[in-house]
Amino acid sequence: MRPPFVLFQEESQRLSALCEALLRGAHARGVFLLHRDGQVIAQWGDLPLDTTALASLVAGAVAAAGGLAQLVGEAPFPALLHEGARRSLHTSLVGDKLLLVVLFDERSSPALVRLKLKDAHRDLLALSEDLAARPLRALTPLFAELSDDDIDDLFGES
Amino acid sequence: MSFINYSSREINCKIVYYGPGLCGKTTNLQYIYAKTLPEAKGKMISLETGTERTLLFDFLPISLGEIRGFKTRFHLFTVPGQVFYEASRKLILKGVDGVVFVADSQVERLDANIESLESLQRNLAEYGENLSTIPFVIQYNKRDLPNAVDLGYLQEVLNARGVQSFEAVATTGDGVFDTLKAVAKQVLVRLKQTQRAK
Ligand SMILES: Nc1nc2c(ncn2[C@@H]2O[C@H](COP(=O)(O)OP(=O)(O)OP(=O)(O)O)[C@@H](O)[C@H]2O)c(=O)[nH]1
Ligand SMILES: [Mg+2]
Repeated sequence: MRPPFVLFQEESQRLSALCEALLRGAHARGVFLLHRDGQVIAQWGDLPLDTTALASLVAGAVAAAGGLAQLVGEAPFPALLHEGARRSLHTSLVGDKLLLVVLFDERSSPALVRLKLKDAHRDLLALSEDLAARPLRALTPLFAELSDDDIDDLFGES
Repeated sequence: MSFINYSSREINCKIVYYGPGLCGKTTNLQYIYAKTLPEAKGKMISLETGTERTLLFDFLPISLGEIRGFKTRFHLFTVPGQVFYEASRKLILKGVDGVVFVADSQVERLDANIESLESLQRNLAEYGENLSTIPFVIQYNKRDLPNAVDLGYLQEVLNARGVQSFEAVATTGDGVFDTLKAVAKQVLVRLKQTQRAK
């Protein structure tokens, strides 16, 4: 089993700052940072939206597009655009683990989103390199304390 | 891949229900959805063909409670069982933390079970995993049907490793939560072990 992806409080704050800047700069309605396996890592914006569902569907679409790219002998498509009459979604790959989704409407445009994504990508890549370089020891606080009883308790009732 | 978020205090894990076409994977998720309190579940998404066969996946997020102040959330996926969707099955296994193999107990589905189990092993291998490295349980479903094969025989054919297994009737819910809890527990125990080993 691969090691878990761990995000600490101060890293979440760094992500917030970064994605808030993207949200404002691109005049977007929402910015979602997802793990490629379909988990929501962080989200910004004010639209009421089922982000868990969004994450699983986007991850599915990206996975399917990746399969298609391979089929036609291409590297994974770096971005997907779902363009609607009112609302659109721009999804881009960040490194090999993360997906950045921008939800926007007529106040913005694909070109503006792409422009603003350049900075966001650079910063996110730097941040994910920091995450990868972090000592493994730092990951343990929760699980070092966890006992078999804690796990049993969770499944105690039937 | 499991995701531990200290900011929202959540542990997220991915569980995949695998098995041959019509064995009852989607029915497992539907039962779990029906019996889970609204506050503990998200929306169930089913990407289906026009005839209720799974096309890409079903998806159901549920939470099973808290451990040390961390909410444990499990993302349940099913794969499409029909033989020609092999590419989709492989995609959905990416980053999986635990697998439930749902076998169809009916005698005429014996070969389909064997082929599906082989496809599971092949696809896991592509991600550098196998059935001993990953939390894994077997569910023998459709035990209610008159043409269900004897349990001992199914065990011999499908469970040479002797992993945890459960008899089930997904339509009535028998064995459905036992299966889910067993795999979820294995995932958390494994997560703890990988963290200890470092
Ligand atoms: N008698 C009986 N029927 C069942 C049981 N579990 C599922 N079924 C029925 O089997 C049929 C197929 O079930 P699904 O859950 O859609 O099967 P699936 O594994 O998701 O199939 P695919 O999406 O094609 O891979 C449905 O008509 C279910 O009602 C069971 O335990 N007993
Ligand atoms: Mg199905």
